[in-house]
Amino acid sequence: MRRFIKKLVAMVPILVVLVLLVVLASPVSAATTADVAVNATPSFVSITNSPDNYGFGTVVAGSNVSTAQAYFTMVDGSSVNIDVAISCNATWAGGVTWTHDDTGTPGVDTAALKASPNTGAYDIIVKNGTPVNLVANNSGNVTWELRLYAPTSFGDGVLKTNTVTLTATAT
Amino acid sequence: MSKLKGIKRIATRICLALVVICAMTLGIVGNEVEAAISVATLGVAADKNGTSPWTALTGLSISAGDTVFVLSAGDSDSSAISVIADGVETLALSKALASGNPGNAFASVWIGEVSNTSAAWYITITNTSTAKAMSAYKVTGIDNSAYDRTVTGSGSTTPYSSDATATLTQADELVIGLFAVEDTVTDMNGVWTTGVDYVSGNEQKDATDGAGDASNMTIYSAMEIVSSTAAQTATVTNGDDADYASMCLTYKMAAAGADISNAPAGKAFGVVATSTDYWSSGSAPTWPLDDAECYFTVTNNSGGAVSITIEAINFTGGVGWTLAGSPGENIVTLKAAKSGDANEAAMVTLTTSGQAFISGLAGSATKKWEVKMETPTIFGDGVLKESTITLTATLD
Repeated sequence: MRRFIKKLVAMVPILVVLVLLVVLASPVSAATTADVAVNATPSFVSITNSPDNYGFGTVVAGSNVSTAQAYFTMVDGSSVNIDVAISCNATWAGGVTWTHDDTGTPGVDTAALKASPNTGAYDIIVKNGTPVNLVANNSGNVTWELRLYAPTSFGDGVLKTNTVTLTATAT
Repeated sequence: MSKLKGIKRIATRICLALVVICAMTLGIVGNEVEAAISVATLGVAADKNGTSPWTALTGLSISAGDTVFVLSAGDSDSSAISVIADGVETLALSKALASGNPGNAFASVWIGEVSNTSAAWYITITNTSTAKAMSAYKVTGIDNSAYDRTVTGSGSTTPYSSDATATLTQADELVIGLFAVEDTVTDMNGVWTTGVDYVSGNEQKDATDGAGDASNMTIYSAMEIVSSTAAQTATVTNGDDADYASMCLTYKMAAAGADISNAPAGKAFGVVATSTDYWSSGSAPTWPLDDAECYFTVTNNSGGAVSITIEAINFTGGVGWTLAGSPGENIVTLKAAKSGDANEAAMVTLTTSGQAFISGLAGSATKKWEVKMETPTIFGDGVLKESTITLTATLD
């Protein structure tokens, strides 16, 4: 048995050398060209929103009215994560215009808007000034809702309109 | 105890088998590395009916790029030989060399390179000789544009000989020996002389039969790949005395082409912003560019110096990016610099056509190089964009 093990041990270096020789002798195909693959992913930011309008209907002074939760859907077509800020115009147009309040507090001919990303909390003040993030570092579609805080008193009964804008930037 | 012995015997046999397998594998691989020229016989035929044109061989398997040799023997010389694959290609071979023993025997070698692969090639020979014979070979790895050395001869007694060629121009060549002998198949007993100075191997022979010896034609042909510059002679012994025409000619092994490799195989720039510069090494270099600032390394694996051109293809994927000298909407700029370049102005702005990039890169030498990408001013989408930069080398 010992002699047999000795024989086996003696064969190991031979096998190793032969295997190495096989590897070393493997043919390498000549090539007159060498290709280099180059790729890049554009930091592309793209969003759309649907539906593109909402009518709160007739509102009572000092009341607040809301869309259904997740009424709006922001479709994210970006290749990177994005921050989505929400903002609106400073004035609600139509007849005696409403001033938009950036603190979320309605007043005489002064309205406010709040939004939330499918939480129903309506805890994000929609400002005319510095946009506030509706979502941050987001990837994928976002549903959201909006609430109007009607003025405490109206100058007329003419339809008022404002535009809410979602602005996406790469995170 | 006997069980243990049995196990030992089996284990020993397995080890020995492994050794044999390794040795066999080594041998096979070694042959692949060394066989720059390959020769394969395609067959022989003989005709004593004066058929012309004569379809001598059919059903031949020949690949695109193969050089076909048809060796002809007849009372008179062949006037045309073609290799044909119906509906694929018809190739009229060129006569490389002829040798005549007027009134008795003519030998000639015909050559051509096929452009298509087929298993249904056939050979037609136009030769008005009553008695004629032929052999055919397919060869790869030679410079088939012209032969290197030739010698022709004739005689009427055995041994048949071509005399010696001049010393070969280079060590690795294909040597062809051919005899057209005015004799019958029953006397086809010739034996090729072997040795470093004699062509032999890949031997083929055939002959016509019937009537007197002089009304027949025998062909003896051989092809050998030699690895020395020794002058070559075709000699066949053991035949009957008979009129013959002979020749020996050689073709050089094709020169090795340029051979380069590059590493790494690619560069993923990741997510990129508009109107921004990106460098494959990760940051803008200081100039002149040095090795440490380069991402890629090209290696010349050739035996000699090479010059390298560079080109790229437009980026694909969604709304593609087009290569141009300056970025724009979905327009990207790729630039390449090699180690030692003085400034960015020396960089090559890549196009879809090859441009000079690296010159005189010595055999076995390496050169570091770098890529700059100037991204588009506007992206059409966010889909991954992919391009390929190609380095092409030619021997200096």
